Amino acid sequence: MGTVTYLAVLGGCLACALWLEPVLRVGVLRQWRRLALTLVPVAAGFLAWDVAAVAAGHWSFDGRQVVGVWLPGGLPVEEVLFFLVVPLCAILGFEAVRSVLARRGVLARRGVLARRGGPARRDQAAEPDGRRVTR
Amino acid sequence: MTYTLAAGLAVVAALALDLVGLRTRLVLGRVFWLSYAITLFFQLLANGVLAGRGVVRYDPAAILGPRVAAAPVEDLAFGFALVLTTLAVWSRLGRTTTLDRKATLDR
Repeated sequence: MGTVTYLAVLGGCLACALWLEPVLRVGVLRQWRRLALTLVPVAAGFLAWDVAAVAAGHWSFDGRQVVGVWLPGGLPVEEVLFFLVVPLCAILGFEAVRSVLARRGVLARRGVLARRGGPARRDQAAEPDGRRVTR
Repeated sequence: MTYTLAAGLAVVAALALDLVGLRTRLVLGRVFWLSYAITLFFQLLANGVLAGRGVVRYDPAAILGPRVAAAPVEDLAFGFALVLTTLAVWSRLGRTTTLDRKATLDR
């Protein structure tokens, strides 16, 4: 993979998470202001830690496996992308879980008795269709 | 300061942010832990490549030694702090209704 190893890992992360936006309609990218207000301060904080850790020698990067764009503080550009991509993927996953659980909740409330009852509840838990229905 | 200490402090700071600073209390609910489990799975895959292939290299003097998916065990704390901090800020900025909050706690 040569110089794009690190970039490829980030691309893989995005590929695994971005489909949640259209398929589960989590609306994360649509809320771009909220997203920016989250990603910028979090990335800034962790990049400060990153710069300090590199300065202290806690970790270093292999120049042969990054594209070769280096930023002040001794970070490859991939490191900045890392702190944008990983939080974005985490938010997409979080909203996807929330969305799925909320839909399950709506379905359960439509059958409140089934939910409260013992045997019915067991049926519901074992219902393999649950996931399909919530889509 | 070692990576071990920094990672431990980051976890404490993230928990403090979630429970006290922003009062999002994600760690008390089910949604966070379910999504964290999913994120952790992908973190281990990414770590396996990044640390396994030596894209990132760690100073043995800065870490405890045990490794998970080729990366120092400290990376788990690092990842947890990053994910929790992100989701706490994200949740705080959202328009959470009382019902949402209650539902999150119930889970």
